[in-house]
Amino acid sequence: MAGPWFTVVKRDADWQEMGTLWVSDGNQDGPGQIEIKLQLVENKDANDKPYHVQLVDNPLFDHRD
Amino acid sequence: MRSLALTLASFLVLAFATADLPHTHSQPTGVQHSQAIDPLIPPFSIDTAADPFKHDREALPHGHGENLCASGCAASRHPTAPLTADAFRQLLVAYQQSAPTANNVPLEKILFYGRQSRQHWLIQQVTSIDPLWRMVLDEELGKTHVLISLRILDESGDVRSALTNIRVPLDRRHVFTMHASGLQPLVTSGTVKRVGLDHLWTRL
Repeated sequence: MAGPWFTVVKRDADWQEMGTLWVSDGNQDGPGQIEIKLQLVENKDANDKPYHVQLVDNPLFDHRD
Repeated sequence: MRSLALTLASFLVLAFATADLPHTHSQPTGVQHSQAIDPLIPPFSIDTAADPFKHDREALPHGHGENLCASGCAASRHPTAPLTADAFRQLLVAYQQSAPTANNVPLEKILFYGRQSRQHWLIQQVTSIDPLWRMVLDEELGKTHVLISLRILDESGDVRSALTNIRVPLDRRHVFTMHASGLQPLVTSGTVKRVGLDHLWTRL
């Protein structure tokens, strides 16, 4: 398990490093890094089915709005 | 005895369905809540009529946290404050006092408030606003999603696991399916929040 990482990322930029972690496939292992890239976009697809997430018993809290 | 067996069978089906939820590509259907379910992985249903947010197949919405927050546990402990109509109006006036760039602090604040600002903007669009300032707000508040890419590099610089241009809505915690190369499957999850014109906060 690795992370969590809390990072402020610049939009539409190239790869940005989030942090380091240990990479192992069982035979070889060594240091590695995790990188992120984010592009801000609209939601334009007219044919996409929208969705709404809601708990069965309670509305889903959404503090980040 | 028969009743006990049926109850036990129902519990096992319910537990299996819920445990599988974050890892499957198929859209989950609603299941009844039970005390036996991990409260951090609540059952949820999909209503396709109400909300304009959309995600790609490799990302599944996954509410999480002490208040069952759609944005995840980290965000639920630091909620964005409510933005009143008056406060938004004041930000709108201040926004027009300088160029609509990242140095414009009111613009940064308007974008920080995300969907709250978007809803106020739909109601409070004033006709006197300069077309350039209006266009910037229209364009920036219209960006409700991100294309997220992740990759893990080993010490040789080889990509061992990756996720490429997966679309998710802002402010919603998702679980991602990363493609691995010579590496065990990874479970990745997180939330992206916009905090200004050029910057996004992430928790992964």
